[in-house]
Amino acid sequence: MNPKGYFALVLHAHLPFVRHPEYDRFLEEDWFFEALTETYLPLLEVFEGLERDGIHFRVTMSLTPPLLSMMTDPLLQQRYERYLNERLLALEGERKRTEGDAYFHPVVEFYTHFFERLRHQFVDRYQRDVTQAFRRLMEAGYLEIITCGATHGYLPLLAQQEESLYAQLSMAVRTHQRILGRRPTGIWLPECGYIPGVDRLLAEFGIDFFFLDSHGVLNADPRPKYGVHRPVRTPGGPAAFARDYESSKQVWSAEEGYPGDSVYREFYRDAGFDVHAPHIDAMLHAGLRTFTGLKYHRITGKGDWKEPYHPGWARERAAEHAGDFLFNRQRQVEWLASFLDRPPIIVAPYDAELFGHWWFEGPQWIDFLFRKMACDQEDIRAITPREYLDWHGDLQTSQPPECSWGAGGFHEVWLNGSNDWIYPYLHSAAERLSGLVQRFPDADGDRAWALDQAARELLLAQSSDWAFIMKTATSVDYAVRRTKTHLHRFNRLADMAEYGHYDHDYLRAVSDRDSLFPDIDYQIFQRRPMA
Amino acid sequence: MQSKTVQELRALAQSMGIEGYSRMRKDELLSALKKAERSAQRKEAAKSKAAPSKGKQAEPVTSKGAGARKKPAEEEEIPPAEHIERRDEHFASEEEQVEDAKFMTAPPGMQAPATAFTGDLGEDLDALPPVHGPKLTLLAQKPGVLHAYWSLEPGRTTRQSGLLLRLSYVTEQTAAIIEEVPLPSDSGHWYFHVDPAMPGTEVYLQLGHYAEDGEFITAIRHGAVRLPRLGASSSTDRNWWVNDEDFRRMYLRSGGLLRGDKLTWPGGVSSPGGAITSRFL
Repeated sequence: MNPKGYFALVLHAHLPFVRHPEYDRFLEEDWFFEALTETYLPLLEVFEGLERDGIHFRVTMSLTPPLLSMMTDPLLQQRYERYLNERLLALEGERKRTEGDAYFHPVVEFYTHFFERLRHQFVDRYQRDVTQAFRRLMEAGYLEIITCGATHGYLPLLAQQEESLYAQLSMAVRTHQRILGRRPTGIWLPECGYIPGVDRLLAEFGIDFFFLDSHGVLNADPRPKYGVHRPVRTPGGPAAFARDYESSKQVWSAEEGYPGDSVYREFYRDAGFDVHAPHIDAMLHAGLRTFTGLKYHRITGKGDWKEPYHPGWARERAAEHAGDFLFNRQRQVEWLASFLDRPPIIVAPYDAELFGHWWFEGPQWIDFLFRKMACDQEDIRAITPREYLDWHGDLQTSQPPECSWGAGGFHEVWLNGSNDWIYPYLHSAAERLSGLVQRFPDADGDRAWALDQAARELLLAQSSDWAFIMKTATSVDYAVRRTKTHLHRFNRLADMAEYGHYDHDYLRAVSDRDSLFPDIDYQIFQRRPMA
Repeated sequence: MQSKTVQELRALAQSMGIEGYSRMRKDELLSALKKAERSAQRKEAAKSKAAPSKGKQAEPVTSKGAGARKKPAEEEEIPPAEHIERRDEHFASEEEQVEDAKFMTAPPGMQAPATAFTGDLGEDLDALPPVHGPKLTLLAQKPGVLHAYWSLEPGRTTRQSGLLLRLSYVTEQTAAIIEEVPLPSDSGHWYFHVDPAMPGTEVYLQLGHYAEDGEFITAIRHGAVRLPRLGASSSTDRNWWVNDEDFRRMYLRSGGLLRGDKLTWPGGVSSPGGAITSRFL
């Protein structure tokens, strides 16, 4: 029997490129290690379990080029293994400290098993390279892995120079193919940032579909007959899928969302701040208190008093919440099927790091959701956008407006008083680089080296994460310094290429630090005719 | 913030209602702005009934055991499902809060460890490389707000008085001036607040001055920028026809109007710092 409708879970996995070989330990590299620990490895474990049990499931996942680059980087792989070992060592101390404590000792035991399992998964099974595990699931047809901007550049605010958009897309497709062995057919536009014209560029790179926030399709011109429940075909060719508001708010929302339930793990309480003991201090950076990932409490309530975490209860609740989510999707599809003449698709996109890192039980919720969806009902079936287009691809053509999924729905998050100062520099650097490409179309030797590295520096400076961090006021100094550093490095490299005076020590040092995209070609910044 | 000029900081301070800003040095301005921002946040948090509690820390657990309690965990019953307000007033959306959590190294309210990063290849973090040549750019920020930045050779505004930014709109029949702003410095930023429902969909920006005969002389111009559109299209596709009532029903159910609700603009006040409520530190 045909289902009444389809469900597409879309997970956007991304972190900016943070890799500092010039330091032995580096605080901000923990962003990546925490995401591996709580999100990427647990998700892989869930997917492999579903595959093993023969459960029908489909997940669309963007693995951004900086993330793929970090996942395949030997230095970071080695440092993540150290991160795991440090946690396991600290946990030995924690087991002694909490011995006989009926409340916290079981939590410490839970973490010990958790980290032992991660270590086995990462080191023994994946040989430290998680991209190969994702690749295998992709080749088996369970995962649709899509790409993103090369460094998650926010396209609407880089569009002053179309060559920046071209460079972001070109390097993304190339990196995806290099690491995952396939050209991507879909893309997660960074922050769903869209302006008319991007559709045409995507088509040039063979991209068939992308995602927008609800208003991106609802406000498309002409009016979309099916609202957010079916994609539209953009004038440039690719299909635009819209976020479903109802399913979204159940997971994201503070008022109606699941992650705030009182038995789930509390994100903000961490042994790094709660426990003062030498074995905990050994995990800190230069003695500074920071998150360690050992979080022993449940959300409990609004007050400061937090009860110990109980993994079994949290798991029960994740199963209940998955059942609730599925029930609501069934009702939604029933309602839609009552008046639509084609099967609807419910697109539910989230930051991948919501599952696990922010909502610790999120991966279990995904596990329960697909099991229930496959075994308990026939109204709704998991699908990828690619499959939906293959089966139900007669789409209405409509042009989405300029938009994003950021607060307010437009560009305010990445362009406001806290971060507007970066744009004159980003635009002027792109203009300069495309000028150099025009002047030296066939550079080789040192000049090509300097120009290639200048292109890397500019792409890194364009990362939307820096503007985002400046706005939300977490780790602002790091974001400001990274932006300035890449701009300075860009400038010095562009000077070298322009005037022909090369400093080889500098070239080697800077290539060693900002080392992603080994196959970059500065010509990706070639000037493009105006649209 | 560090990278802003004293003039820009003063303008911000003025918009925040800080007293005595015109006599302050850069570091004084920075700390006054930080203070004003914090007190604005506190007021906002106090206004909200469900003030977040995550920031504060309970007593550190240093010894074995964590205080006397009645029963070990196994004997307790699973607490009933309860939704806890996780939203921090600091964030404009849930998405923002989740994304922010990716970059967090300490809980809110605790001193986050300072970054160890300094560009170690001779980068001067107190300065930025120069932006070459005269530049004028106009970017749409959201419906009703446009952001301009410009950069002239140093000393230009002191040598030539009367320089203006002029924002205009064009329709098929007419072109009209929306606003003219005296150029405050050789380089800087300006946020124009325009009526989102104004006629015409394209605006353009000129930098220039009035000649003695009253004619406007343009030094640099920035081509047409389309204003972001808010709201549903009015045109319907003949092949994919949908009646008004059905479309409206689907639109409302899909949360289509919520985006509009979140948009605010302080009635036509242009300023160098953008919306006064924006977080800038």
